Parts: sequence; structure tokens; C-alpha cells
Amino acid sequence: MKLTKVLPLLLIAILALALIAACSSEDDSSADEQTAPTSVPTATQQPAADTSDDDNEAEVVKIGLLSPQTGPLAVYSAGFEDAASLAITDLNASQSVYAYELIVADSACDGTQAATAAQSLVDAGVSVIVGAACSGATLGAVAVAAPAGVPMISYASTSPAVTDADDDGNLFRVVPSDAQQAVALTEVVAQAGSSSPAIIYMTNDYGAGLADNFASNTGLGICSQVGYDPSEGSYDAASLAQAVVDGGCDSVVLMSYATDGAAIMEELQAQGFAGALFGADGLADSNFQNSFTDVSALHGLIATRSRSGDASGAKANFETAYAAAGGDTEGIYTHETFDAVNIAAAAIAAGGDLAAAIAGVGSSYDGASGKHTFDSNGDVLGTGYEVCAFAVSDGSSDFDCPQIWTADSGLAGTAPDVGPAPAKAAKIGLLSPQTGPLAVYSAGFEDAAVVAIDNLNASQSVYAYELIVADSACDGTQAATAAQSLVDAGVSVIVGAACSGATLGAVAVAAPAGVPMISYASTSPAVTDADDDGNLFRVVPSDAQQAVALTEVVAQAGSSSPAIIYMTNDYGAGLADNFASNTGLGICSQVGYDPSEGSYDAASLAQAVVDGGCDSVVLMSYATDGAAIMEELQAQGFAGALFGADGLADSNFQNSFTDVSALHGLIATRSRSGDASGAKANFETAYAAAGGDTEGIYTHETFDAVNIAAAAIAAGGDLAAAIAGVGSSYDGASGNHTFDSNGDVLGTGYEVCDFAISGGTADFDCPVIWTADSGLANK
Amino acid sequence: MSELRLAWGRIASWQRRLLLSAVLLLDAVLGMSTGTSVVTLIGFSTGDLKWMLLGAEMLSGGLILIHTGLNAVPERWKTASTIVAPVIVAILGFVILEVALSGLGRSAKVNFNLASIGLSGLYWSAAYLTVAIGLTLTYKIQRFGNFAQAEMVLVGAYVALTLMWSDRFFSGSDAPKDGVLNWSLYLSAAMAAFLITGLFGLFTDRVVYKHLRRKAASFQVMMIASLGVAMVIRALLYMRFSARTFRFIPDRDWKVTESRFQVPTERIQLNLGDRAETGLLNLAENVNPYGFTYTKSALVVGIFGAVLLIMFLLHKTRYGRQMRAVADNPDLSASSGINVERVYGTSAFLSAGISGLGGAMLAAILPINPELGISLLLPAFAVIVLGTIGSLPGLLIGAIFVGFVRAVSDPLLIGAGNALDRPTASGFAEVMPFIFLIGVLLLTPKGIGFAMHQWSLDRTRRQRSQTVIEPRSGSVYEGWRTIESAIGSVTSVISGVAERVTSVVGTGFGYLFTLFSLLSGLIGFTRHRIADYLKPLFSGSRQVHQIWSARKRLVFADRETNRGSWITFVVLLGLLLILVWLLPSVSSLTKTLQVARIASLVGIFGLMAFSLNLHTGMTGMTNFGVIFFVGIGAISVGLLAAPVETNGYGWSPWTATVLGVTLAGAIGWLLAFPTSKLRVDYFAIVTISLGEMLRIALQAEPMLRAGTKTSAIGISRYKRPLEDWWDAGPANNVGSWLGIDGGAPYVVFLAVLSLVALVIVWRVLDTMFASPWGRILRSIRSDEEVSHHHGHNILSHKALSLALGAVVAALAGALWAWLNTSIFPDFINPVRSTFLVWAAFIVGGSGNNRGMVIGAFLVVLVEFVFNVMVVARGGADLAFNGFVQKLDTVFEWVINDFGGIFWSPLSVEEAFPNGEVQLELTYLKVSLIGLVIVGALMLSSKGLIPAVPGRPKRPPRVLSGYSEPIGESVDGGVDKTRTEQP
Repeated sequence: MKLTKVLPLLLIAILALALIAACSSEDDSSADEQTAPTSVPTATQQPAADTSDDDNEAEVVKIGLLSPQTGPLAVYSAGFEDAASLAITDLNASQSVYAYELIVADSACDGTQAATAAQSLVDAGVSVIVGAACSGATLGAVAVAAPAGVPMISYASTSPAVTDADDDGNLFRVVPSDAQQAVALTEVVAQAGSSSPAIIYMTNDYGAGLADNFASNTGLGICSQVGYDPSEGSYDAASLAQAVVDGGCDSVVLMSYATDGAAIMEELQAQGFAGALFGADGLADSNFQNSFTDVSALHGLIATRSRSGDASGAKANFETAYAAAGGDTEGIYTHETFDAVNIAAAAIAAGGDLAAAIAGVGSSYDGASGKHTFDSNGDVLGTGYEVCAFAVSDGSSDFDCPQIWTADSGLAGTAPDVGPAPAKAAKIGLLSPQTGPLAVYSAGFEDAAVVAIDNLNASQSVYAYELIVADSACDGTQAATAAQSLVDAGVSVIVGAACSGATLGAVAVAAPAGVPMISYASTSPAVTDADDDGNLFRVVPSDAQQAVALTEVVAQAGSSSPAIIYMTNDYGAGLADNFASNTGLGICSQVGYDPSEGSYDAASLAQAVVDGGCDSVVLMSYATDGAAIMEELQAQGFAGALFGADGLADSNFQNSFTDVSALHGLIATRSRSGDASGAKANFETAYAAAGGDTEGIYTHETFDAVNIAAAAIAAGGDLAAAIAGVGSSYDGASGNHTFDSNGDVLGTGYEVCDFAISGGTADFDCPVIWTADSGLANK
Repeated sequence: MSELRLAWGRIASWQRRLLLSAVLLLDAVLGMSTGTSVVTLIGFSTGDLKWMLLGAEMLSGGLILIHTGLNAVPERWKTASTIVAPVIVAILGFVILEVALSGLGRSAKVNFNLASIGLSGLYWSAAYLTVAIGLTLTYKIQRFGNFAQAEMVLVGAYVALTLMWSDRFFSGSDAPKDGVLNWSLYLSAAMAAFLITGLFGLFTDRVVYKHLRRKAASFQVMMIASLGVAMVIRALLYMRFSARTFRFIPDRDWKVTESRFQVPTERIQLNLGDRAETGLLNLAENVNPYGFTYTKSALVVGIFGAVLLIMFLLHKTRYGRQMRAVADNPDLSASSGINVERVYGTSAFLSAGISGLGGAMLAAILPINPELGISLLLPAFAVIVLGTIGSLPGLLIGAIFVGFVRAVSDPLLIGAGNALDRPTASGFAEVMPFIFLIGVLLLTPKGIGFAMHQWSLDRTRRQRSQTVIEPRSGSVYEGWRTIESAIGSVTSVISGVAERVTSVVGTGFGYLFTLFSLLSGLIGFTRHRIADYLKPLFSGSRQVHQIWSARKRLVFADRETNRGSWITFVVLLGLLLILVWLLPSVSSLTKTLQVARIASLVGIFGLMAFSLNLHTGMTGMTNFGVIFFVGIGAISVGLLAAPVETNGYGWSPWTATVLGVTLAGAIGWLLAFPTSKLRVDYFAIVTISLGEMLRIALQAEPMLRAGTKTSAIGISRYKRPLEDWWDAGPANNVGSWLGIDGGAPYVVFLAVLSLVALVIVWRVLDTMFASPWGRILRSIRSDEEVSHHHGHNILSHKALSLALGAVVAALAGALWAWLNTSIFPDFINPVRSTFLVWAAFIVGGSGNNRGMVIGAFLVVLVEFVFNVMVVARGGADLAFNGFVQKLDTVFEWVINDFGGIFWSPLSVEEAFPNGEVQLELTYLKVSLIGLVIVGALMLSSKGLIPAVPGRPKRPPRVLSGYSEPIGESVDGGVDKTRTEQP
């Protein structure tokens, strides 16, 4: 108990004793080494130094380094310290007038702490302080260093506040102010074609300064601006990422440090963000990949960083030496630290007033980080910024800075190419009639669409197109349900449907969801007037035209009283009505039926035609029912001519027959796939190579619809408008298409095809074409 | 007039409040929608300030309304209404936003992604619980707020990392992603972290806290000792693992993108403000599922499981009953045969162990470096306060509340902030738990856990009365009884088993305990031996011996008398001044700068300590927000004196100071009203929250930026007082007197200014303490109720004390702003300010302004003294250079040879990648500062210069084993917190 009362005093006494011991040992050492005057190079001791020069004894000069050993930037402190030691080692090796010593103190990224550290450095007798890293620390430290007449050269403080600091001309920095970098960054973002970037930034002077300057400089609309405190445990990367994703932003600009930046980018990837990623110099470091657990999230990041000048001798020398010392030459602000120490040393060697000497040295100073000239505020203009890109392959990132930005000439050099992978997922839906009357054709549609998607993904890497197929079943209700599932799956555009009723049912779902549709086979005139808010397009012409073509075909064949068997859906009924009103022939009989299986009786339909004594039959049917009816017609002994529309004009049609002979002699029209163009030939080659049948119905159209959808997605903006834009003189496999205001195309006319059966298989041939201008003509 | 007042007084208080709130709400709504209200009429007709004031007006109106409503709720609904209160506060916030945005004609889109909010809410709850569970246990059983708890999390994290780098597990953690999730390292790390961190906690308890307990140290002394322990641990981790960040990767498959639960989600878009086309709520279509990582899920399950286990241990086992008994009354428990020290040991083990467990799991989610703990510590305090300190069910509910508030506030702030030209607003997400907490505490001053406790008491009471008075019959009731008895028998079986288990575990603890008593005995023994050896050293000669035995009459007569106190002060001051004199420097200019800076800092920290002493030492309000008032002073001084063209106001520094100080005083005075009913520790958390809110505001609020042409964070380029005058005249005179060419720097003037301010304030405060008002304050400190019965208006005295202390602190803030020349948000960081001031306050000796000066001096000086050693590595001629070389050798031996027994060479390589094992002296400095704090408190737990009692001390009650009187009386230390356990 008694002891405890003495001990506090003892404690202090021990501290004091330690100090006394230290001081006396200092005295001892100086006494011992009288021949080597190691005291400080103050003006009064200069003569002593001179004499020692004569003895080839180097004068000891101390340079202080404020390094952020604790606090948020602690991660980088080792790099700064290594670069500074390297500079000191080089200096001492290259000359023997001065023996430079590096004294490191902790600036802790905090003004008060940095001021105390600066005082300790000043007390230790440093001539120049290199540092600090954080702008707040630099400003705190200069309040101590400037009155002491110790100039400071910061190697990493980029805040605009440093420019105006009250430093009596003692504060310099070899990095340019953030105000400039923000300008560079805006240009990079604009160049990349981003239209609504989100800014995620740290709420410290670095991050906030950059973010504010970026926001005020960019002409783009900022989608969302999200600030966070970068200390671990005080932000949730997942919510930050989620905010950007929920905001629907097309790109993200990150003003972060390495660890937090990596965490945010990983979450962005995980939450399905597919937009472009930009960053500032806090990230533009090859070490950045080490902060990732899943490096693939880094792919595609484009980041600016202060440009380390042109490839100069100084830069190469530093990088060689630094690499040899085990450092990473791509590290952040290491070149600048190296230069700052060298400028400090050169100024000391120049003598005289140190601040003036630094200003003198720093005029066109050719350093590892570029050519520096200090202005009257101690700022450098900088040599611009590098635009770097990270490309990840095989789990490691490739870091490359191909482009530079300078204040004078803006961006120059090739824009960074982030390589193939970060394709943005773009989903395209396909409504295919997998069940129902057109089921037989669905495989052809799907194959054509797959060929289109494969070609697209092979030819570019901006988007990764995905095809999502749903069954429209040739039925409005079913197609609407299918369209809903496609919308739920996140498709951007729906290609389809085949049947007009299905298309109309589906568009009632897709249009309100803002998902445009491009039908590849719906020919009903009803599609033209659908209530679709401009969201419905089709690459096939309306039946109104086909009916005209069909009347001419029937008339040419010499038929006088054709019967019409048509499905009572909008396709069949539309064709039938248009046929009936266009033809000059007398209609023998007009028979409608519901094409769904089980609700019509092919036998009685055929019987009705036979009983009517008609000389020919025009079938507006789909494959299954059309085949059934034709087989019944044959069975009932019908011998007249057979005509069909595009529902039948497909070489696959024969598969719907049990007895193919019933198919013999059918003449059918179908939408013409344009003139033999390059696009058409390409498709057919690719399609044939993929095992498809190039004579299939609407395969060319499906291919084109998918391609138009993809091109519109790539064009960006409002998708319906983009589709209308793409579909202007679009040169596709199925011809040259231009959408009118209803989303219809004029089409390139029709082919007239016939089936001839020999040896149990059908021979399908389309020798005649029909166009609106010139009627029927041979190919 | 007086009739009016009388009439006003006759209205029932709830009616008065209702009227007041109606007026406030009406005025605010009018102001927001039409632009005419009291706020606009008194001059704030435009600008952001108007909207802020209107928002604040509406908020206070709404809070008063809710408060009145809660008071009017019948007794039986009280608990329910208390629990609902937070929701109402949240709705109030939305309403304010809505009205303000409509008034501004803007619209905010807030996207609430349900799964995102729900799951990150859970994640935050678990992350905060990691620290909070340990805090609660220590608070409940050992009765102090353990600041080192966050470091225990880190210890756990680094145990996991070391295990990952071990020969046994490294191959697994480095294995390629193969799609097979490997659990072995994760589980081993969790268990090892629990055990090792637990033992570590037990060790610190035995070495540090046990001694403080034996000296009956107050709650605050223990807390500050834990702060020192925290510094030491953090510094050790820095030394061993460097400042690099590391990730704990139990198996690479844990981090692949597929290692997530894809949770289907809905997105609700809330449209606030001007919504011409959209509805209030929209449901977004086709939202991608939300991915929640396995690691986060494991943390949630692990931590919540651990808390439930602890609850089971405390409430269903015999050992738990013992622990609760010790928590309620240690003395009584001791007398009824409970081994109190063993219970303390168990509690220390468990609280550290669970935090360590959480740390290991957290390391798999966050990159780890030694700074991590701090950001979890403060919200963890918010969690335990919200859930009522010491209540475990309350803790769970508090954690879930705080977690969800945190998760909801992110999207809300982003949406609203972007609409209000405050894109930085999302920075406030970090302090939303605090804002929410303050709102809730104002409504239910005792926290949610208290309400729940009350509810369960009521229910038990009701049940009992029901069973006695109206034993109902009927099948339903019988059925219920059957179920109840079934549950009862099951629980009895479980608790029987648990009792067995705990008795076994208890025996284990018994062994551990014996081990540690041996260890601590050994330490005590050696200490005594050393003392015995030292004694002859001092009493070697006859004369010295005489002085030794007569020391009581001489220097240390008795520090608790006025004369002794002064003598100690002078001696300590002298010693510290000698230290300053001894500090090496290179020239008279630099020495002047050094001394001036130390003097200025002593002035600033001294003023801050005075303020703290007034609030905490004299009035008994545990103020953890010194920096809040300092910040108000500094920010107003900077902002008002910054040039107009750079967003400042261009005032003269003097008027700016006057306004800043007045503003701080006014805020301090106003603060008393909502907080006067709060328990001391709740007041502490409210004030610390205010500081954090100010820090974030300085980061995020554009109005608080000035001094640069562009809008960089921070305030700079403000004018300092008499700078031109100084440079023009006195500088040269003083300079020549000090032997400096070219005039003395301005900081010399600042030093003089600071010291003058220090002395004047000291004088004024001492006079006040000696006055009757000082006695009133002391009486409030010792017992508010008694003081109230004596006719003192507690509220107004507290308000005055708060205002006066705030003024002193704001003055310190102004000096700080001038010394630093720029104001950046980091300066409000409690680690670098409030905690240091608290250390000065406790080490110096609470209740005594002389102690404040010495404490402040010590806190300022240790940094400088140890920095001498930090810079020593650089120069061959610097003091300690040889010593540092020797240190490096020792350090290398410790890391490579000694430590090599415990960890693999790989773990050394990771931390020292250049292969150069070198001691980073900065971290040694931090640990030494921590040791100075702990050491000073262990040696003299009342501080270096304890309070001087106003009247002669009663003869101390001598208790066996206790060397000093416990339960210090009226004029002793601050010892009030212990009386108010719920």
C-alpha cells in the first residue's frame, strides 16, 4: 500500500532516467566520435562539415518520412517506406558528401497525430519532411513544420485543400490535385459510353473531393451517389452494391481504397451488376488484385492514376532497383515517394534556403513519377493521368495502362480494352410453339435462334446473349403465360411468337412490362393494329399481302371454284377473308374449324369439300391439322388441286403425315427470304452446318428477329426505339426489312413452292416468286 | 401576464405538451408547405438551414407527441407500447421526409429490397453482437464497460489466421475451388479462437482487473484500465501481424460466387415527396434474387447460437444461478459460499471467448487488420444500451433492432440524400443506430430490456394471482396445464443434464482458476520480492531510511489533504517539466516549437479534462462526448472565420469564438432536458453518439465544408486570432529573447493563450467548486434523490453544469482549431480524443482539477517521450538508437524462435514479406502508452492526485483483503453507477 503511493513518481522518474540516459549516451557517443561530427547541419556547424568533407567524411543529413503506419492507409505504408529507403540507399551509394538518414514517424492519417509526429521529426533534426500521405495529416503536420522552417514534400496528398494551406511556401507535393483527376475520370467515363454512372465514394477528403469534382464536371446524369466510411466494419459492401443495382445504374465509379473497393466490387458482381466499372488512383494498382478473393470481379475495371511520366530513364532505374529490393513497381504512390525523397536530398545538396532550393530543384525535375515543376503553391501540374484497365484471365489480373490523359490534350492513345470476358448478360426470350399445331416447326425456329445467338456471342464480347425459350403453344393464353415467365426471367426482348393469336396474347403481357416483341411468323393483319404501345414488331409481312399472292397462284393454276378450309383463328380467318375478298373466282365453299386437336373432325371437313363438288382446296392450316385434312381428302377421293399458305410451306411438313402421298401436288406460298444476299447465304451455311434444314419455314425470319433484338440491346436506350432504329433497311437473312410505324415490314414478296412425292419422301421446291410489284415470276 | 402564466400552469401537463407539440408540428408543416412559419420569420427564410431547422422542429414536435402518447397509455399496455415506440419513431422520420420533400417539390425514390434488408439486418445484428455479448457479460457480472472487447474479436480473428497459415491447414485453405465445401478449418478455427481468446481474457482478468477489484476500483477506473489493455492488445497485434489486411479463407470454395443462398426477393419502391405519376408504394417487377454468403449465414447462426447458449447457462443451470447471484450482490454471494473470483474468471473467459469465436467467423467475411475492432465497438455499446445494459433477452432484441435500422437506413439515406442534394447522406448510415437509439431513449429512458423485464415480472405476478384466486377449470385450461407440465418436465430433464455438464465444466474452470491463482500469486510474490529488494536500496543509508519512514510527513504526506495534494501536484509537475526539458531537439527554434506545442496541447487537453471533471467528476454525469462540445467549438470557429468566397462566413476569430462557445453552451444546456432522467451509462452512450454524429456530419454535410475553392471535406484557411499582430511586433521580441532568428512562431503565442485560458478556467472552476453551488453539484453526484428532497432543482443545476462544461470544452476546441490550422473529420475520432481525455481524467484523479492538469500533461507528454524512441531508428546519432537495435534482436527472437513454437514460418512470412523481422516502433509506442495507463491505475486506482475530501475523512473501515475503503463517501471518487443495476 505504501509502495503504491511512491510508484507513480517512480514511473515518471524511470521515464526521466531513461531520457537522461539517452541524452548522456548521445553525449558520450559524440564524445567518442569526435573525429566524426555527426551533429545536425545547421548553419553554424557548416564549417565543421566542410572540414569533414576534406577528410572524406560524409555530413549526416536527416530526412523525415511521415508514413501512415496506423489508421486507414496503414496497408500502403510499407510500400512508401520501402521506396523511401531505396531512394536513401541510392543517394548514399552515389555520392559521399552527405550521409542521408531516413527517419520514419507515424502520421496515422490524422491531423493531430501527424503534427505530433512532425514535431518529433523536427526534434530529431530532420531537414525536410517527406509526407504525409493523407491530406488531413499533411495539413496538420505543416502547421508544425512550416514555423520550424522544415519544408514538406507530400507524395500522396491529393486534396484541393492542400493547395491553399497556410504554409509560408514550405509545402510542396509531387502529386497533382484531385480536381484534375476528376476531369480525367469524367472523360474516361464518357468515352466508355456510360450514360448514368453511380458514384460510390469514401467520405474522406480524398473520396469526397473526387466525387464532388466528378459530379460537378461530368455532363452525364449521376444515377446515384453513395458515400461510406472506409474503415472495416463500418460499411456493408452488400448494401452499397445493392443500392446501385436497385437504382438501375449503368456503370459505377468507385472512389475507394483497395480493401473496401474490392469488397464492393465483389458484391456488385454477386448481386448481378453488369455495368461498366471505373475507379480512381486508390484502385489503379497492380496489387489491387490481392485484395480480392474472387479476382474475376475485378475484370473490366478501368481506373485512372497519376501518370508516372513518359518512360524515362529515371523511371526505369527506379523500377529496376525497387523490384530488385522486393518491391512491387506497380504499387501506389511509390514513384512519387521516391521522387519526393530525391528532391529533398537534391535541395539539401543545393544548400541555401531549403524551401527555395526545393522550388529550384523542382523545376522540370525529371523523376521516376514524371517531369515535375512546382507552381507558386507548391503544386505540380502533373503529367496527366494514365487510364488503366484490369483484364482477368485464369484467376489473375492483367493490368495495363494504354491510354493517357493530359490537361492540354485530353485522352490520347488507344482506349483500354478490357478483353473478352465481362460480357454483360443480355437475355433474349423466344416464344416457340413447342406444343400445339405448329409444334413440328418449333425445332427449326429454335435452331435458327440458337445459330443467331452463337454467332452473336462469337462475334463480339460486350454482351453475353442468352436465349430463353418458352412454349407459346400457338395459343393466346398459353403464350401470355409464357411471355410472363420470360419477363420474370429478365429478358430484354422477346422474339416471337409464331402464331398470331399467341403473339397478340403475349404482347398484352410484354408491352406493359416494357419488353418489346419481334415476331418472326405472325402474319395476321390483326397484329398490325394490336394495342402494343409501339412494342410489337414483326419481320414477316401481313397476310393481307399473302392472300393476294395466293389468289394469283390459284388463278394461275386454273382453278375456278376453290373451297377454303381455314382455321378459325386470326391467321387462318385473316387469310381466308382476304383471299375471299380478293379473288375474282367463285368460292365453292368456305369451311372454318378450330385447329386445336380434338375439336375438329378432319373427315367431316374433307367430306364437306368433296360434297360441295369443289375443284380445288385452299388450306389455311397449320401442319398437324393440315396434314390430317389432306389425308382425309385423299381418303375421300378428292382429286382437285391443293393450295396452302405459309402454315404449310415447309419441307418439314411431310413429317406430319402418316401417308406422305397425300401431300403430293400441294402448292403453297410462303414469305420470301429476300434475294440471295450475303446475310442469307451466311445464315444458310451456318444453319446447315448446325444440322438445320435451310428450307424450313420462318427460320430466316427467326434468325433475323434475334439479330435485330441483339443489335437493339447493344444500341442501348429505349429498346423499342432502338429496334425501330435497327430495323431500318436492315439487311437480314430474310431480306431487307424496314419497320413502319406499326412495326410491320413490307416484306420482299412470296415464294410459291410445291411438293412432289417420290419414293415415300417429299421433294420440296420453290421455283416461282411473287412480289407486290411484278406479280408471279420465275426465279 | 401572471394570470396567463397561472392559467398555463393550471393546465394538466399532458395537455400542455400536446399543445406544444401541436404548435410545433403545425408551424413546421406550414413552414415546409407554404414557406411561412416562425423559423422563416426569424430570418432563415432561405437555404438549407431553413429546411434543417424545420425538420428539427417537426422532429421535436413529433417526439413530444409520441412521448405524451406513451405516457397516457394505460399501465397494462406500457410494455407493448414501449416496444412499438421505435417503429413509431421510424414512421415519424418518414413523415418528416415526405412533408419536406413535398415542400421542396422534389421526389425521392427509395428502393427497399426486402431480402437485402432482412439479411443484411441479420448480418449487422450478428456483427454487433460479436462485441456486444462480451460487453454485456462483463457489464452484468464484472460491472464495467470493457473497451478491450473489440480487441478480443481481433484476437479471435488472428487466431483463425494463424491456424490458416499453419502447416496442417494451409494446404486446405490454399486449395483450388473444387466445389466441395470444406468445414474442418472453419470449425477448428472457431473452436480454437473461442478457447485461446477465452484464456487470453481470463489472463487479463487475473493480471489487471483482479487487482483493481481488490482495490474496489470504481466502474470508471476499470473502464479506463480496459482502454489501456485495449491499446496494448492492439499494439501487440500490430507488431506481430503488421498493418496489412488479411483474409481468413477456410477453403476457397467459401468465397466462390456460388457459395451463397439465392434468396428470392421483392423490391418495394417508396416514393416520397412530389409524386405526380407514381404511387406511394410500387412493387418492382422481376427482381434478381439476393445472394447471401455462407460465411455471413455461419456468423449469424454461430453468434445467435452462442448467445442462446449463454442465456441457457445463466438461467437454467446451477452455475448460472451463481453467476447471477454474483452479478446481483458479490458480497452476499461470497458470504453464501460462492467462489466469487471463480465466477469472475468464468465470466471473463466466456465474454472474451465468444467475442473471439465471432472474430474468427468475422475474419472470413471482412478483411482483417488491427483497426477493425473500433468500428464495431461503439455500435455494440448502442446495442447493449438499447437492450438495457445487462439484460440478455434485451441484448438480442437490441441487436436485431440496431441491425435492421442499419440495413434499412442504407437505401433510405441513399434515396432521400440524392433527392435533397445530399448524396453524402449515406455516410450517416453508420450512425443511424445511434440516432435511433437516442430517439428511443428519449421515449423510454430505461431501454427495451427493462420494459421486457417488467413485462415478464407482471406476467408472472398475474399468473400467480390467477392460479390462486381463480383456478379455472375446463378442458382448454386443463389441456394447457398438461402442455405446461410436459414442458416443465422436459426442461427439468434438460437442466438436470445441463447441471451435470456444468459441474464438469465448472471443475474444469476450477482447475483453470487454480492455475491462474498460482500464476497471479507468483506475480504478486515476485512483486513483493522486488519491493523488498528495492526497499533497502532506498533505505540503504540511515538518512535515506529516515526519509523513507518519514515520507508521509514529507512529500507524500497524504495526497488526500489539501496540502499533500498541492505538494504532489508540484512534485509531479516538476518531474514532467524536467521530462520536457530533457526531450531532445536540435536547435533553439525547434525546442521552442516543441515546448510551445506541448504547452498548447496541455492547455487544450487540460481544458477538456476540466470540462470532463465538471460533468463527470463533480456532477456525476458520465460524459463520453467531450469531443462533441470540442467539435462544436472548433467547427464554428473554423467555419465562421473561413473566407466568404470559399463557403465560410469571414468573421473575426474572436466573434467566431464567442459564438462557438455560446453555441456549445446552449446545446449543453438544452441537452440536459431530454437526458436528465437517463441512467449514467445511458447518458454516456448518448454523448458518445453525439460525438460520432458530429464526426459523420463533418464528413457528409456540405454546409460544414469551407476553405478551398473546390468542395473538399474539412475546414481550412480560417483566420487565427491576432496572427498579424503577433507577426508584426511581439514575434521578434520574443524571438530574440528565445534566441531565434526571424521571430518566434505563432504557436508560441498560442501556447501562452492556451496556458492563460487554462489557468483562468482552473481558477474560475475551483472557485465555483468551493462555492455552495459546488456542494450542490457534489450532492447531486452522490444522491440525486436526496438532493432533490433538499429542495434543489436537479434539472437546472445539471443544465448549468453541462452548459458550463460545454463552454470550457468549446474553448479547447477553438484552441485546437487554431493549433491545427485545419479541421478534418478524423479529429473527432473518440479513440484519439475522448478516450485520451478520459485517461487523463482517471489517471490524474477524478474530482480534482490539479489532477486534471497532471493527467493532461502526462497524456500529452507520453506521445512525445515515446516518439523519441520511434524516430531513433533513423539516425545513428539519435537517442536510443543502440537500444532500438537491441530491441530488434529481441523482437526477432520472440517472433521466430520463441513464437515459432506456436506458429508456422509461413505466418511470419505473411506479416513480414521482406523476410526482415523488424519491430515497428510506432506500435511499441502505442503499447507503452497503454501500459502507462494500466500501470498508473493499478498502482493508484484513485488517480495520481485524488479528490480532496471537503471534510476530514472518517477512519477507514478496514476490511480484510481490502486496502482502501470501499464505497467512497460523499467527497470521494465517483461511485454511483454501481447502485443502479436494474
